[in-house]
Amino acid sequence: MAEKNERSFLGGDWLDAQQKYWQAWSELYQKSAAESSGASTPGTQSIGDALELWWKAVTPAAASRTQPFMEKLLGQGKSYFQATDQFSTLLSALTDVSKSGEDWQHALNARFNELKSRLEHASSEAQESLHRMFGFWELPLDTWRRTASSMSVMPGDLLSPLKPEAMGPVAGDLRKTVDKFLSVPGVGYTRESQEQAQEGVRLWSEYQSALQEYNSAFTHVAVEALERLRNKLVAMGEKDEAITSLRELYDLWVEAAEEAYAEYVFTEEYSDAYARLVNALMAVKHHGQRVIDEALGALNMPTRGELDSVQRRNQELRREVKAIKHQLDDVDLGVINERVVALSSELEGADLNDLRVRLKNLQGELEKIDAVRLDRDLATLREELGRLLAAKQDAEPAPQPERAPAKAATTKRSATRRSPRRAASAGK
Amino acid sequence: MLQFQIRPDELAQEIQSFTGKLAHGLETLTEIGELDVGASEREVVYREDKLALYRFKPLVEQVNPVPLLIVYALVNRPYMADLQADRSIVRRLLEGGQDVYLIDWGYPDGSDKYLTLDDYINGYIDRCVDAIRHRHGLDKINLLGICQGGTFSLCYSALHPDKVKNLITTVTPVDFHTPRDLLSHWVRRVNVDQVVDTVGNIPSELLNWTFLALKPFRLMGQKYLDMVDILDDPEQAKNFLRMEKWIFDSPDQAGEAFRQFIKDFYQRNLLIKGEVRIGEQTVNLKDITMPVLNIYAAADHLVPPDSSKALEQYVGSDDYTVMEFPGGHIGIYVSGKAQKMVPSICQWLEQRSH
Repeated sequence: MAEKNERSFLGGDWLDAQQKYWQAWSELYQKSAAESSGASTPGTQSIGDALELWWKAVTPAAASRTQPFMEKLLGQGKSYFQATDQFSTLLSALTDVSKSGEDWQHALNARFNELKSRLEHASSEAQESLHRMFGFWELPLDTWRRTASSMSVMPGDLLSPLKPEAMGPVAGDLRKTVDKFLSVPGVGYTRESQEQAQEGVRLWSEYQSALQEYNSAFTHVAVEALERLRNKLVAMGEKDEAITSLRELYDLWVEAAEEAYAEYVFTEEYSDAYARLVNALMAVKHHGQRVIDEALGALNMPTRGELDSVQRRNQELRREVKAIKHQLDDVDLGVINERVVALSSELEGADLNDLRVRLKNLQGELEKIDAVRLDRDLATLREELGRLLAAKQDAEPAPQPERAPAKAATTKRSATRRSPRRAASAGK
Repeated sequence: MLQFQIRPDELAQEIQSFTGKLAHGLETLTEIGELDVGASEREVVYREDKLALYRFKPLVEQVNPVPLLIVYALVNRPYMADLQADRSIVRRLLEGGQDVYLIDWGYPDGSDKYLTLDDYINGYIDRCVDAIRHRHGLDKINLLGICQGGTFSLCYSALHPDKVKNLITTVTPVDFHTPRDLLSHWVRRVNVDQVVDTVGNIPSELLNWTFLALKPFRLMGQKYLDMVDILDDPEQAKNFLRMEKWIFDSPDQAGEAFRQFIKDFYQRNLLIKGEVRIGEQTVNLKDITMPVLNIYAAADHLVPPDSSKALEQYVGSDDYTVMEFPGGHIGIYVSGKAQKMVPSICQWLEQRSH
């Protein structure tokens, strides 16, 4: 294979490359700067900064609706170049090592172990900076923060400035202060509101722990991905394969990261961390909603709870209306029409005068009836009926079972023996 | 020996090329105009709440006398099956002589958060089926379910077998506890009651994050670098942006329906146990006695093939066919391979619709 990399990558060549890039970038910049004013001039910043500057310069020329999308592309471009910048520097150095006759695999291992160690043992602040350096580690976490923010009762990530990693060295003190605050019992007139505030802080604290734990899980993935990338590079080296573009290196890196991630997210450990993160966030938000509802209620404003009740009842009414509509749809209007027509024709054929005369006669007969005498006769009849029924009951023999089994007959006989009055009656 | 064969000038060129493509892309995106999605001509034949039932204009004279109703997942939009003319399952079905109807679920808002699975399955789907049966004077129609819509179609067919002539399920989860089901693995310990009680309807951002988190580095990073490579071609850029819309234009999920779907299906796996309750009825897959065509995607990262293939063990039909699609969960609707698969579906339907 032809050796192309004749000069040291870490020497003047890289600066030379950067210079060439700046020339190319400068041309683009000047073109867009001509269409706008006030853009800054290019300096000697990193590729990420250069892209950022370039974007600022061209932004005025971009339609506003395309800007978010272009920013996304630019963000990935920055991650891409930052990641490949790291690895290409490392690999170039290794190529030089291998040319000097040293064991390149040993050198590779040493470099990767150093990177892994920095990821695992760095302070949270330094760790974040490392994450940024490797670009896309932040992708799932960053998207989670945006998602969590979009569901917040307050706009934006209100808790962001208080994240443990942002708190840095004071994080431990903060936790102690929080614990102290939570241990103070509530008394007197403000007891309930104090407890509510304590509960809010407790839930917030739990969410921050869950978020930190989740963040740590991604450091685990990052370390594992480095290991996999190292293995892939070793395998390529053993086959004498070469990396000939940044993109090839980047794709290898993505492949390694996806593999490491896919393996980790199937573990129980990740499943627990994920559930704790979602559950803790929801607990904080739920508590916040309760507090807001109480405040709204105090201001005589509609609360979330009241709106929920209205919406629930509304849904029940929708169901009922649909059920009634469905029943109405099932009604055969043709049959109903036929019946109405038949009734109408009967009415039309009826002699109404004759009906009126009959009605009048009936009314006259009713008026002649002596209601008091009728009531007395009715009472007499009731008494007579009562006497007759009692006499009939006494005169009736006990009922005999038809084809009753022997046991049932025995039972019946026993019952007869236990009732002398019934037996005497039967003997009459 | 490991070789890193990039000269500094080549590196500079690669960076220059990237920014050059971005600059060109800016021009492309500025001139690209409105994104058109939904390629096939259609009319609304029934409306209810936020739902609309579409009938697509037939493209051939001799159409299948038994119409086909497509039920897609609540997380998608109707154009997911009709993105653009050359990436449209709907269009291929129309070309294959099917009379195609499709339910557009709309975008649920706060007033819809108490919609239950009973409202969706015995309510919306049933009334759409009735509307189609009434229009065509038929007792039964054909049903095609997509993903979660496939699970709904299974429940519906089990509860209303007298109204379904043939059932097609595509990338449909049936067994929610198969070993490679990452979504199921993740939500197993989530307190869904607390989620729904807190947010009401489930925000689409949360769902999108979950789907992207299945392959974060590929879907949130690498994909956009691929996009930069095609930015100088307006047509390819448009195709990419349509797919972006396809993925991110997700309605929120009605809270109560989501609660039951996650708890009963994903967490308790009740569908295959014959214990899912929809309203007052219990869903028993053995009651699905009509012909069934079950299509799964071999490389599906959302619904593992094993989850879909499990249907065979539980369904009551004597006429069960399974088909493998050589692609992924999204590719089954928009890829070139997917377009070639549709004639087989039409043929299967033709053989069973007379």
